[in-house]
Amino acid sequence: MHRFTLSFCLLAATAGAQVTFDDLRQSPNQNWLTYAGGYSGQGLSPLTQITPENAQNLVPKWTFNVPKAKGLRARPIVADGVMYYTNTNAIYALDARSGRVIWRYVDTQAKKEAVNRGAAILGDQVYFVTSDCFLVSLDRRTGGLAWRKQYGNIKDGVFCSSAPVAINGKIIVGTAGGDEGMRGYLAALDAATGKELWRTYTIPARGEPGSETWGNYIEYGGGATWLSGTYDAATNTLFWPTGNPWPDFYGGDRKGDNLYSCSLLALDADTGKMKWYFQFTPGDWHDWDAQSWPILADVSYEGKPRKVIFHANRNGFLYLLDRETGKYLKSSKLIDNLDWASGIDAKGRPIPVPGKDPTPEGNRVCPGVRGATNWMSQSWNPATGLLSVVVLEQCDIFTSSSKTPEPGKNFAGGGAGPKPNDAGQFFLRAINPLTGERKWQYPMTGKAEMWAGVTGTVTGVLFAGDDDGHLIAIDAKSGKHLWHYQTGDNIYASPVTFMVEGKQYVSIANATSIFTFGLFEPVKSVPVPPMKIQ
Amino acid sequence: MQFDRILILSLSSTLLWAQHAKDDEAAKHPFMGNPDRIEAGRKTYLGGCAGCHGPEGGGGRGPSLIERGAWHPMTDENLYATIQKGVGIMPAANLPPDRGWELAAFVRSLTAPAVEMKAPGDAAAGEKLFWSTAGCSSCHRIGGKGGFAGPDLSNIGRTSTLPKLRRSILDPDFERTPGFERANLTLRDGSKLSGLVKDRTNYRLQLQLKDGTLRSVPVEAIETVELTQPSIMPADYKTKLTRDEVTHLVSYLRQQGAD
Repeated sequence: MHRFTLSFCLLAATAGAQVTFDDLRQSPNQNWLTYAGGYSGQGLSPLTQITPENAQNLVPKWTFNVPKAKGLRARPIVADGVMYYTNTNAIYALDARSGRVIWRYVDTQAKKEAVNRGAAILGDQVYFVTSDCFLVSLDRRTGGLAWRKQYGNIKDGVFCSSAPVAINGKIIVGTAGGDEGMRGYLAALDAATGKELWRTYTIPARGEPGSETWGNYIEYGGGATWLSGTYDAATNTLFWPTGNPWPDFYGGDRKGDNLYSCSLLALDADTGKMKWYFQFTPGDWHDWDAQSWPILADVSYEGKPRKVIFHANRNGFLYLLDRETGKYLKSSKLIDNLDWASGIDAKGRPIPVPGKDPTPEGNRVCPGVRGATNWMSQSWNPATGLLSVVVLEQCDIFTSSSKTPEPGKNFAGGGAGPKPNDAGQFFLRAINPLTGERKWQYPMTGKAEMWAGVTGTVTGVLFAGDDDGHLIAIDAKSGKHLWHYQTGDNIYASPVTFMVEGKQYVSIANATSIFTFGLFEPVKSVPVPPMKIQ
Repeated sequence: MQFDRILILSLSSTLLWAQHAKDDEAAKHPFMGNPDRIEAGRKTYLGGCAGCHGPEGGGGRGPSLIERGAWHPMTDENLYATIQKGVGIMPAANLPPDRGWELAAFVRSLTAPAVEMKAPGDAAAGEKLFWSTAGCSSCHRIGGKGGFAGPDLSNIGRTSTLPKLRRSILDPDFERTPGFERANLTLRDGSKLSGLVKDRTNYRLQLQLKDGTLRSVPVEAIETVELTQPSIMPADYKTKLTRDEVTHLVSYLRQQGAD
């Protein structure tokens, strides 16, 4: 048995084969190859070693303190036993079994410092973006720099933080900065050379279709693309959410729907051409970016198979859309504290409640500026028909300013935040996205400060960060607590699970470190091997 | 403990760079980073400083000037003042201000990222040496090509300095890059495994095999380890290459990581 285990270990421990497009299509499996785990964004691992019955035996395996980390956002990717983890302008390759550093790359040329959400992998390369919008391609075995290609300019108000999405021969990258005035876009770069292949702006140029939905400031309209999208390889379609229009909290100068802000875009991955769009929050005044996961699912809807998208939106509603056409099918309330709209009409347009715009004096609106949910990961399990999503029940005071907007001057047209002693509460909710029915919820204590998401496994375990800095394991069927571990700081990232050498692990970053867990095994004394040093 | 060591070494280049950037912002003397002024400073240096600090700044009777003091960084003003007034047994230079600043600019250039400095030599000739004549690429990689036995040099112009590039060619054992010890393992199942040790603890070895494949080996699987600590880079480039060829090679390497 020992021999068998040993041989298996050594075979499984090899990390060298190229990561192909087909590998990416099959993720997650033992690997976790994309920011979302897989192209569909379902956040469900097929690994079966950790179950609701044995999750209580999870123990920490290793911790890696990320240099200079202050508020880690990234979710790692894992390929053949190597974990790639990004922080601001830096990436680390770690042995996923031990947390030990294999190589590191620190981008010393970057001229801005912002959060970073993760890496992508394809072939022999790993990719990440610098805060000043260079896509960096590194040899995944050595960390050697292949190239850095600029795809955005911070002088235009753009910065970059999103995890790239690798598809067949292309790396898709997004942009951030929509709160200070910029024109958002999505770009595809050649995976081998970094050459920009296409760029699709999320806000039309003046005179283009859609520009009639704006007034002034369309040139700085926002519509950032800072959360990685999902991808349907069968139709070669990217689904990418867009951010708020600018100025965030005062729309008096941009009366109209402000296309294509706060929307979901379906784009041809070869050309970037828009196939369809769906706007969740037309003419938004509350900074409710659509940056939440467009989860791709194949379901039975009204008795027929249907390709759909679930989208738990910051504006408080959970949407069901037709994936092929973008047609609105249904919606339900994600949260109880929702007072800005009375519902969604038959075409998918919110029915606003008058008097809920931000005011100079301040106006209490639910949900708050961080939304009913946000970019934290979600998990869809087709077997149970449940979508697990972290939601925030919170109302904020929204203030507006009609001061003449100045892009790049930290001006958002107002602001928002909760009253003292009126902070909200996070819940992990399991919802049937086809009916809106809530199956269960797991309430969290805490200060409503976290950004942690949830990841599921087919065995019915959900891993999530909570609002007190714990990684928790929850029974996906009942919402019952199974296990928890205190990481010692707030969590702003989402968990992943993977397998190496026949063992399943779970990892999550808190503000400063990555923690990795596995099932308890008694430690055997390890003899120091005879070592001859020449 | 190996972890701490590796981390500190690895961060040292970042610290150096960060400090460099900080000092640049603080000083802003127009001569700093100016290639012509640096070259003028080099001439002054060779005439008056090289006797103690070495012709390449590597030290002698006086301290090395190519190792930037990460924990005792000197502002440009302090560097200039030290040159002009002297310190300890180092005599005062008492140069006219412009010549003093030229000398300060040259000394500062010894610790600046190589890619930011002008270098003599023919980069094209250096490229040819790297990829064929001198055989560097059989062990080193640039841009995804080459061997795995030595450090990947794709970004070396950003992470090293001109004097260090030269020294690493002529005296490779002077400062070894961690992660390039060679290990020959005999495993308990009788098989053998050889590779470069990217990381080593009492519990696990992370090896990189000849083809670049990474293999993490639990120590309990290992019967014996033979570890070769000295650099595996040939130490005879000093005699194998001419002085000009070394200069060409440095000129090529300094470009790696340039925009």
